[in-house]
Amino acid sequence: MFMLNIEDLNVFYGQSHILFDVSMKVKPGETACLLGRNGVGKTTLLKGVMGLLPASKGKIYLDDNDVTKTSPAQRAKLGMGYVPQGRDIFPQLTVQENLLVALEARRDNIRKIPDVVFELFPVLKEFLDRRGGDLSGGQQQQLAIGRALALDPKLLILDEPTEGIQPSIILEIEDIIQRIKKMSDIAILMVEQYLEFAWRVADDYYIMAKGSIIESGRTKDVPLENVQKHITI
Amino acid sequence: MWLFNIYKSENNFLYHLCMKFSKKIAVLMLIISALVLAQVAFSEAASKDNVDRFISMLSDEDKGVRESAVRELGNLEDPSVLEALNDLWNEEMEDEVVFAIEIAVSKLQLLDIDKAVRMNGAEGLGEKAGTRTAVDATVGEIEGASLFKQLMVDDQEMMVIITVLEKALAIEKEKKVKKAITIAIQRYKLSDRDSDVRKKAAEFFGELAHPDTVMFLGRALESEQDEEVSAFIKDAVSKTEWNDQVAITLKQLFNGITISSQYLLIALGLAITFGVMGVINLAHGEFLMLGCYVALVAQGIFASFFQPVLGLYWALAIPLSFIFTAGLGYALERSVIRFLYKRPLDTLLATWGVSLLLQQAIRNYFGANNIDVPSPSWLLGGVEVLVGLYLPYKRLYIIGFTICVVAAIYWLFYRTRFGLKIRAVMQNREMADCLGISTQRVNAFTFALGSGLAGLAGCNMSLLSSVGPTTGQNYIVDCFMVVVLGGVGKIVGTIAGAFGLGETNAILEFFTTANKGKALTFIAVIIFLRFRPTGLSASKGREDVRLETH
Amino acid sequence: MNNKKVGGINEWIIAGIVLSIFLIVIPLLNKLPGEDSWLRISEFRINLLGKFLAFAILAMGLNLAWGYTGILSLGQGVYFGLGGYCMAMYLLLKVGASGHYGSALPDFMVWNQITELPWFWKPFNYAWVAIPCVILVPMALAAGFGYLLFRSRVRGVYFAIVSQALALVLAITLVGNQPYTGGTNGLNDFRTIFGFPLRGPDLPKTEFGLYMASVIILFGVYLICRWITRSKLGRVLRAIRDDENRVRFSGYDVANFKIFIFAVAAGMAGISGALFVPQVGIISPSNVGVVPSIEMVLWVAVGGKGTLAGPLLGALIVNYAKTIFSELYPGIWLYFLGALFLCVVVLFPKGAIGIVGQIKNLYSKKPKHTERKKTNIMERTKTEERSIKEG
Repeated sequence: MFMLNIEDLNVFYGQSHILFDVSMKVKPGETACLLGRNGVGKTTLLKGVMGLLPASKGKIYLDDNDVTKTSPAQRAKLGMGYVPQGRDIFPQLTVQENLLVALEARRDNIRKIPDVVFELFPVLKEFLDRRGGDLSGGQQQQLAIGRALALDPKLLILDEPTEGIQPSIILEIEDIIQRIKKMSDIAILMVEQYLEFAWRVADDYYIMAKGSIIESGRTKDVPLENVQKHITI
Repeated sequence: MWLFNIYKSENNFLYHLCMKFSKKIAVLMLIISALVLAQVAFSEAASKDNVDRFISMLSDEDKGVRESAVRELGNLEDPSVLEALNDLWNEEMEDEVVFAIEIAVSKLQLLDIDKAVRMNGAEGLGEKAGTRTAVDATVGEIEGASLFKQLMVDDQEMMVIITVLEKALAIEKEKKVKKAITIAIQRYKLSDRDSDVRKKAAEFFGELAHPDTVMFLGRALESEQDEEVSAFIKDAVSKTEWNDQVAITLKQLFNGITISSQYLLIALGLAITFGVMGVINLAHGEFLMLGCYVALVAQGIFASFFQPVLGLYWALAIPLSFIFTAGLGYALERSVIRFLYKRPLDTLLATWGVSLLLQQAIRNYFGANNIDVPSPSWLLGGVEVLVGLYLPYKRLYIIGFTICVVAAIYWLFYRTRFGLKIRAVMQNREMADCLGISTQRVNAFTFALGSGLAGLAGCNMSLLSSVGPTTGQNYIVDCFMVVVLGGVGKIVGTIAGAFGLGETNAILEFFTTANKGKALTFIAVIIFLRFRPTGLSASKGREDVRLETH
Repeated sequence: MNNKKVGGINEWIIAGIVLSIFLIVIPLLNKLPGEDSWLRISEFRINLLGKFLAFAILAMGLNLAWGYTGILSLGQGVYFGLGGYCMAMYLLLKVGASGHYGSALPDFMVWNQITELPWFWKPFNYAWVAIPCVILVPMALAAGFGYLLFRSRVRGVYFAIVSQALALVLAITLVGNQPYTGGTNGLNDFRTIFGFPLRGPDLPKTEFGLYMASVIILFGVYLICRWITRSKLGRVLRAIRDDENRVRFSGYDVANFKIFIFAVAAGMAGISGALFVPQVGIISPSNVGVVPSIEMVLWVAVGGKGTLAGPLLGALIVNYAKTIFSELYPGIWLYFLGALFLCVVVLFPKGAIGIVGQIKNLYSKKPKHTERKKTNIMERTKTEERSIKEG
């Protein structure tokens, strides 16, 4: 039983072949972390999983549903919550509206922002009427994660959640990911450059190079130093 | 003339009305021409004979006989003779007789039951007062002055007319007609032999200060000999001219607001589709044109099947124009535009192609000529809010309608789920997609909404002008400029753009000509873009998505 | 880019063949065959062809702006019109006192009770002023217009609709100032051009000369376009088309490049207008407004934007189609035009030139993704950027 199952995924970005036969699996309640240097295709893989880039070959299963041919909106409705690299908050919408948008993807048709979002991110409650564009980087990151959680995801996709964020907020985000793991069986697929952070929150790791997975394993079995050589430039 | 047809249908009623007053008429007639009317004063039957006799005199060869017959008929207070007078008016060649007919007809019109006809009569009689001053002013200078002399209301005639008018005033209930009659009386008094009477009349016009009186006050001033009276008239003229200026300015402003409202309604649809999809629909003008034709068709349906409630066709035309054009917009989006989202410039060309097809289709079906859509009767007329400032109901309706539509759009955008989706897609299409919003459907519905707004605008357009296959083209460039001027992303920008452009156009047009006004307005917008390229409402994030080329 | 070789044959050979068809074969087909021979190309057809070649000059310029730089101008009629009016003013002043009213002023001015030649007409008494003006006036306006808009980074659809508004401005200005511009009727009734008659029995000879002039000038314009697109400048222009911001961030002043190429396109439109006027004998606001302007875009689109020969092909195809349709089925022309816009854009975005490649693509086995084109462009820009930096 896997929440996310990728089999031999190939993705083109235009005419250039970016991903070559990538396979990975994430169990419910577990976190997989994708590591690798810049430009090896990590973000492309996340976009492929989300459906923003089409798969030319291979299959993607979400909770045993084949989603390979579906649009991002349909995948969101099946339970994919996506937090992109630039966070992509709607700048002119208020915090509340940003969260309300995500409810469009809920399977249960509930039109109320779930309380868990405000439990995890009390700051969002304070700023409900503030425009998304006026939030700080850290607050935007929290809003982006909160937004993804609001659609009640089975799989949470995080693209570099710590990028450009001050250390105190990083700790907060780490804490939140731990809490999410504890209180639900959401699977998390994460791209992360910050190794220590990744090692603390992830159960599995996958290392990518030149569009392929070159190494993978359980984080608790492998000391952090062993993978460092793949990451550092 | 339609006026006289009314008499036909109301003949019996009017006849009785006139009989009621026949005694008084008789007294009046004695004063004027005792000789002829002596018999009339004694019996109604005799008066009936007189009518027949005068009518037979109308076909006399001698123009003098005809003229006097006309005069007599005019004084008979019998509307049934109007038809005969009208027939003669159509054929008559002699100016003097025509002049007499016109006076006679106006007198008779004062007795009508339709207030509009009574207004006409009062104004017609008032006009004739002008002949008195005009002749005095030109005597000896213009060749054929003697002719003018004959085409003049002489003192005796004037007395009669004033009496008729005063009598009509006494029984008149309608405020407007009363005012018109009073003005007519005062116009005659302005040409009275007695300078005191003239002075009083001048004072009256000074207080009235109605822009319509400027012309004849000017003429009265030219012919006035008495300096004291002259001063009074001058005073009246200056007061009137001031009012006139105010009224013209306000009217220009009001017209600007009307046309701005139209711009707004058209440009709103453009701005919404452009904001959401980055696509400008060059066939938007043709959707507007189709809206006009929907109104035409709705009018036609009611005219043939529901004649008694013809005015209600508007209630069909409004929703139908929206639904029809919105449906067409939906079809266009699904069949063509959705394949071109990555190529906005190509969308311009494709939609231009569509516009040509629509134009030609309409030309084939309805013909190339412009057609007038008769406006619903309840929108005819208007209200005079200030002296000389007359606001037609049609234009007021258009302004009100636009306000309602803008309010509805606001509600849709900021108070509904659909609006939230639209705004999300507008700001970040990809992210909206990742949050479960079907951007395809949002696109299609937004495009349909924008097209529907054009249809509504077209429906209203049919109130203002006649419609033809190229109606859309005449307005569309203006509305593009509204979008450019207003900027994209916020409704308030489009509102500012529409009124900015509409009023600038109205003002420049006032100082130059219609053509120059428009040209100057556009040039002003182009220069404005140098300083505010994102338009009046600068919205963040426009640079990145919506101005993209390829 | 496969500009160097078209279908494996050297481009110069093709250009030479085309040029000799226009310069030698067509004139021969006019002179040699008998009057009734089906091979014969009548004087009327040659005159038409000359007009279409004049249009092709405009299309080549427009292609520089749209096809190579991504600037879609829906108001190219403005520059066409300015060039045309400059030429027409000169021709009209050459009529001199031999007009209907025997006045030194053009007939329409006499009719409009103008007693003295307006100041802006006076320079057009001289060919050495009028001929440069044909090119310089449109270029100056385009540069000014471009300065206002490109400097403010107005582009894409925005630029297109503002340029369209300019076409409307020119048209209504011409209509509204009848005493100085001839109003709706425009300028017409010319007598001679550089001493050659524009009426009477010798007209076909003049028209033939104008046709030859059009061919030669068109070839010159083609060479200019070729030179521009092959140069480093051309690479920058294509980079601007593909990703303007990237070029800007690389340190180029994008606005200046755009202003330049837009002015060049306008100059070519001006030449086109100047060649149009003597061949057709009239220029009026209906040649410069919104509708003709957008038709000009279609010439480029049909032929294939972003290719050197496309505009020529497109101008010939569209205008011949227009002639044929308006001769045979006048009511259908607009339907055809509308459908043409739709088809070219939706089905054949690369135009007639691109159809061959499109068919080839259809049978190729490469995976097709919707994003492909865009990325392709971005990558090309990357490599071009690199070469720009290195070069």
